[in-house]
Amino acid sequence: MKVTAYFEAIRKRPDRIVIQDEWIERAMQAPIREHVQADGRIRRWVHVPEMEGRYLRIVLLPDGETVHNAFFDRGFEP
Amino acid sequence: MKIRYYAETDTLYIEFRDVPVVETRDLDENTLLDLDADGDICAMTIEHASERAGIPQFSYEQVTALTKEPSVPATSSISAGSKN
Repeated sequence: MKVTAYFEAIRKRPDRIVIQDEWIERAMQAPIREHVQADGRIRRWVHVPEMEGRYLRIVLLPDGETVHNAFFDRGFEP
Repeated sequence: MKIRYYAETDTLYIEFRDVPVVETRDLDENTLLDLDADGDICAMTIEHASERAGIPQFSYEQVTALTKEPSVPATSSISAGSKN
């Protein structure tokens, strides 16, 4: 999985270290929603039953494969 | 306080306090706030920082409190007399 330097650093933080690669892959392959930002970066969300049903948001670079961010999005409305 | 700039993606990360983050919230499409359990901000991520935060220019200055000059005792009083 390709990641940016920012993500490589931030994923070590305690609130992000719980995010499994498998969930990020799931968001990349089978998102329940996608939104392309004005800068071309791509947001995708996936439901994570393993984490009390929370929704994981990932942000990909415009190449569609490099992960720039991932966090549980409390503001997401399914 | 910790500041990191990731030139690869033009991302600026500012950590105000090293405390557990419980929520990441959007301020706008290019700004994320990390909040602690009390809802107080502990970190911030600013995307496209060279356009929005003046990076790579950076300055830090600690402005100390000015010390007060000792008060000078009055040597004359001002009289409110009428002018001739």
